[in-house]
Amino acid sequence: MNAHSPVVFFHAPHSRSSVARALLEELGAPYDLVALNLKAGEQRTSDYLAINPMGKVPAIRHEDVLITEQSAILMYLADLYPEKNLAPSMGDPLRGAYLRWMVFYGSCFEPAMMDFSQKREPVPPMQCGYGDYDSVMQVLAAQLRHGPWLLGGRFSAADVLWGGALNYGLMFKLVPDWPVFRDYAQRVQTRPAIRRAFEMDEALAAAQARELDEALAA
Amino acid sequence: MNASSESDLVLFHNPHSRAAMTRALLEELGVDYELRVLDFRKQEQLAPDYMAINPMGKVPAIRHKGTLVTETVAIFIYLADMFRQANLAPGLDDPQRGTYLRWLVFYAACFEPAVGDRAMKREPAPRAQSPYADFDTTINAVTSALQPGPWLLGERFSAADVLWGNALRWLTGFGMVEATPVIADYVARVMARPAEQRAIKADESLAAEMGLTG
Repeated sequence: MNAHSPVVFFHAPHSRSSVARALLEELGAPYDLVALNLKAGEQRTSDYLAINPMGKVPAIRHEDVLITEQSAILMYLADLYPEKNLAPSMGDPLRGAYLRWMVFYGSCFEPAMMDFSQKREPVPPMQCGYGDYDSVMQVLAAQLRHGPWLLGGRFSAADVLWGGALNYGLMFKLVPDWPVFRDYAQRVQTRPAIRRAFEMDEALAAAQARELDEALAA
Repeated sequence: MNASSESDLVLFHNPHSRAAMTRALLEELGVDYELRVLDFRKQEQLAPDYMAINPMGKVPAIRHKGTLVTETVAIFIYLADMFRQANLAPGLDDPQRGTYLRWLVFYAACFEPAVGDRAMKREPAPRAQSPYADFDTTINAVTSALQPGPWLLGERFSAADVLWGNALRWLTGFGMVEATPVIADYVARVMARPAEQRAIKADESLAAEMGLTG
């Protein structure tokens, strides 16, 4: 496997995949962008559902292997570029905490935000629920108070994920407006590579909106 | 038991919980581990001692040489990489690494939320937000991945099979997931493995000792 060969990146601005783009920029990884216009429903075409049957971005193809799921993609990419030092290596005492927080995003945080936005009860413990909204937010805040990064002094791919996730959650009022979340999200989002990804996505979103307007007008 | 006599690897466990999957993985890995059993009837998972280990008050958690790991899928990735001599995880430079991570994360990020909503008899969140589309799409995605067989990664058995085999065994047992031929055959294949049988028997004995059965 050629670890540093370009990644095909299935992406849409203003979506979960902004985080994956931010990590690609942090890693300086070469990627070929395949932009999907979510407003035109391009994530639900049969072509794209063959890539990700869940109809969501991000997805990547690397060396002919398809990878979906935000955290899987981030863990995979960060391990591809060990020289960038964005994932504690195997044997590093921080590896366990890193994996824990990578998985916690999909297994606890997203379900908690979903229940909160839908104003519904969490799945109870006896049916293997994730826990409850308040616990998820408290546990995350407690971890971030060690700062400046999720793993303490060390910046990692987990920060790219959580900075983006909290930025989104704060914007849509799906997470509590606590200083610990605001300060952390700001710290992550102001990194040059992440700013770059954000600005490219703003330009892409504007271009997609123009295209859609033109298509509708035609 | 004091900390100095603790073994290198501790599993915080309950036989009637997700932790049964991690116990099966430990048996597959063939490593020595110490069991710390939490009795849910006594709310031991919510006691301060345990909340210091996993503030979500859930099992499993593991402690390996001082490193704490929680969340089943994180524990699976960690352990299978750490004990790589058992060959249950494609290495970082293996072409199957991405597929392996994809299906492990899919379990936590899509499958559990889908099953949870089904258990609560409610609709998924709107498509633009839902992590998993809908229940049938989720089950179909898993079925398509299992269909070529015999394992998720084709000819290669991995920790992902321990996770999916055990999860599907529980859920088909409870009638939460339909035991279609693809799923039923896969579960039977995973469960026929000696390590899986060992884990099941050990947890059955443990449940009996705890008075959780009959």
